[in-house]
Amino acid sequence: MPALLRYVVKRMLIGIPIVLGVTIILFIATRAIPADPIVLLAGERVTRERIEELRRMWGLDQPLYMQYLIWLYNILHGNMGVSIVTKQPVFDLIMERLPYTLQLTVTSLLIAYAAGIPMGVYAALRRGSLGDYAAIGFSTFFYSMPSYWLGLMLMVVFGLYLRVLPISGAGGPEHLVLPVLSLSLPSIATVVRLVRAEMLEVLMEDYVRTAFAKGLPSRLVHLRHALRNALIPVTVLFFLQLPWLIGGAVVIETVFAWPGMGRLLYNAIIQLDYPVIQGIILIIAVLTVASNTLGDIILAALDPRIRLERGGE
Amino acid sequence: MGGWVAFDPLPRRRKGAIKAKYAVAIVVIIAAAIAATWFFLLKPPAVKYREVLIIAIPEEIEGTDIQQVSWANEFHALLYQPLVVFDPNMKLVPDLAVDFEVVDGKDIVFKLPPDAKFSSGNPITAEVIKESIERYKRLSPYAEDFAVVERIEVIDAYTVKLVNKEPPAYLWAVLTTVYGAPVDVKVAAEIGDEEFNRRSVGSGPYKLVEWVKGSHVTMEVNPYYKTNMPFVKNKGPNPYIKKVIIRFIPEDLTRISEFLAGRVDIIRGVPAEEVKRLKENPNVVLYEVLSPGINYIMVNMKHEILKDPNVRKAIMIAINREELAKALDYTVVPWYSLMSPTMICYNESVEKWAESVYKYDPEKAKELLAASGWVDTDGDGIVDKDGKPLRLTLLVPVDRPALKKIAPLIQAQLKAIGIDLKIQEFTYSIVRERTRNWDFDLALRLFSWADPDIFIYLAHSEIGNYTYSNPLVDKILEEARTIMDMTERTKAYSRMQMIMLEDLFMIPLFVEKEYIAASKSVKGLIVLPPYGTIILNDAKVVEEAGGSSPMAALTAWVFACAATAYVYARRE
Repeated sequence: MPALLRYVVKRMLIGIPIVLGVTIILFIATRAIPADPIVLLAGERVTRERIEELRRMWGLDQPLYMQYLIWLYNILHGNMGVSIVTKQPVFDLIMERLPYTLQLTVTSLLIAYAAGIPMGVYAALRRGSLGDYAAIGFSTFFYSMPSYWLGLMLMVVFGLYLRVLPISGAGGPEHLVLPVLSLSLPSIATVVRLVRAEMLEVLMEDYVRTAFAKGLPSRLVHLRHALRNALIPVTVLFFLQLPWLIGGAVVIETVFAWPGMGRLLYNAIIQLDYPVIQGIILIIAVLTVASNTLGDIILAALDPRIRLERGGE
Repeated sequence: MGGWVAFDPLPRRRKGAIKAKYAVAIVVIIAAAIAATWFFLLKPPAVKYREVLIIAIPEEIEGTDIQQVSWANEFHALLYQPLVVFDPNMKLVPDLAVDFEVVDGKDIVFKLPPDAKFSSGNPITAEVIKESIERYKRLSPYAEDFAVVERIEVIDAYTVKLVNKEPPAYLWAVLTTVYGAPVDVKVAAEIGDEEFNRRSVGSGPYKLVEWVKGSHVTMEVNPYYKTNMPFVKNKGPNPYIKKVIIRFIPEDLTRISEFLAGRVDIIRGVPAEEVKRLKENPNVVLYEVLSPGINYIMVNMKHEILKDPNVRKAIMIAINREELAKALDYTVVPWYSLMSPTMICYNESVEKWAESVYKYDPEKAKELLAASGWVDTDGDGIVDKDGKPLRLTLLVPVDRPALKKIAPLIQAQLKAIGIDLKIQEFTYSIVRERTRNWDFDLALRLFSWADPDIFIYLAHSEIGNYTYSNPLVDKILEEARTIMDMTERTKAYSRMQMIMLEDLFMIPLFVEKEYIAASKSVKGLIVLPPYGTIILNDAKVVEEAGGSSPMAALTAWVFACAATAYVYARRE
């Protein structure tokens, strides 16, 4: 088996216990909340007998490990269950929302990289200059701002006072601007810092010096020799950040009344809608593991040293 | 540039007087400009009505089928139509029904209009009402609501009789809300209950067009809508507002911003700290309704220390409710009894009595504690008995802003009489669960239900099964739910309140106000107590269009000047 392929298969197999582990921890964590979705759902007017009946109906009277096994059995049979609150299939609920969340997070990520890479390169090439400090300062400024607060401020300024952008909800591309900014501005900093550090490191390498010594124009050396190598860890970071951004989207989607999965999760947690919480976390866990694995694989493909080390050849 | 040379008036004027036809032309132009000024500046505003009304509410609907959901909001109130409703003075009046009466002291007969239809066009007959209530008993988490209904008799096509096991006094509270409204059982049977929860059909003023999950629902006017509510002028479909969009915006600041930016016409869930600002805003009309219920401290009657009535009384009078109301910007009303004015069977004299008996009096509170042996012997500010300090824990629901905000105040007020109160914050559901399991000392809670029968779920020793048990209260609660005569029923609940206020299992704090903010451009809106239901029958949205336009008048003058100059320049 070629080293790369073997590496890929190995990485994917490692992902399975990780996803299982996440679901078990999650199962225990949600059940540790000392409240009951049935009690929560039913107002004061519902009698105790009715609550017991509903609890039985939802299988909540079973011991925890049984509930988990039943859930796992259903998942393996392609059934994510039904929401306790809306009584609709969890899979349908998630699929209605997932496109909105991906639209938001992927756009944000692309913008963060589109802005962060040039800024990082510029800062590295002009190290110690005013531009360097400006780039670092700008990105750190937004990095230290909670995206929740940043979102509200952007909304108040552009939506309420200037009235140039819609305040909330989904619709045309103009609806994307504020939530995407609130998500991407804080993550630009990570990109800028990484690109800058990598570039500085690569610029010290012998082959860069050789390239200069050959008399190549500096633009060519910077872009073709230095940047290409500096971008390898940046590419990996891209995949690591995707699930992280989905987490950030929970808050941003709530602020901007964006009909994404994050808001579904937020509501489900408030209402203790176990099947929905479990379904969404499972999706996020799978996405996380998948994008991490993808990141590793791409890294291995780009940088043969990695897979040689891990492949043990 | 040549034109400007020609437009040098001085040398030309010498050549001769202005020819008559140019003079006429100039006069005509100036007259036209004056006319235009009159037209544009003094034009009376052309009244235009917008066909779309946008409402924003904090929480998304759980489903559209009122018989499957556990709570209802503005959407359900527009989709469904109860048989009867409470008018603005809390008087029972017909809505879908033409008439209703109580026969044999316990059965209720509803007369339906012969042409009543659901928005699907399916007729609403006595048989449909029967099937609808039977479906409710089968599906709803509140199935118990209709437990008293033994059977439903169809007397003729448009007359239906609820035959009850006992006089169902508390049933009005259900029948007047959308929970008591009929659903289109025929459509439900065709598409199945699960699908019906996604696109339900009722007979209310609007029908569901689209539900975009997590975002909004779009509703259109129901062409078959017809009401018998005496307090609205328009008893049919609203001719102005053809479409209602209900948006779900959970974040308070976002909802308020959308409203202030004019992109939403009506909002519910106005946070207390915004009330003052909205009241001062000239473009906003703020409606307020007193909540049908109270916010209170629930006491664990089985607790070693709290078993002592003196301690409970001391807490009751150590609380300065005026201070609590002030801290909440008077978005609440200080309260001393257990029922609020928007509840059925409310009796003002009980509140007056309770207020006089339980006036804020920290000195007397200390005396009460001392009478039970609680005195501060070691000078640490906390009273003690047998070497043990008086320490209690208060469960505080973080998701109820008013209660969360006043918890530290209560802590300070009780500290003043020597009680050391520890605050523990949870979500309301956990507070409710822990009080149900008797696992608490004191807990901040609230209820919101117009009928005092709600007390059977809180104070009855078996049905409620909280820590409170008083056989006399049990008996009154069982009896009062069957008393059809309002005066008698009010008496019963007044008595119950007085006993419970003696026992102090619930220590009342305040009654919350519900706020609904509407833009000034929404005219004819009615907000009904007790839940602040929005009635749109006579409503219209005035579009800000027409009227005088100084810019147009100015443009006319610029044109006039240019034309005059041109004519003048070419006067030969």
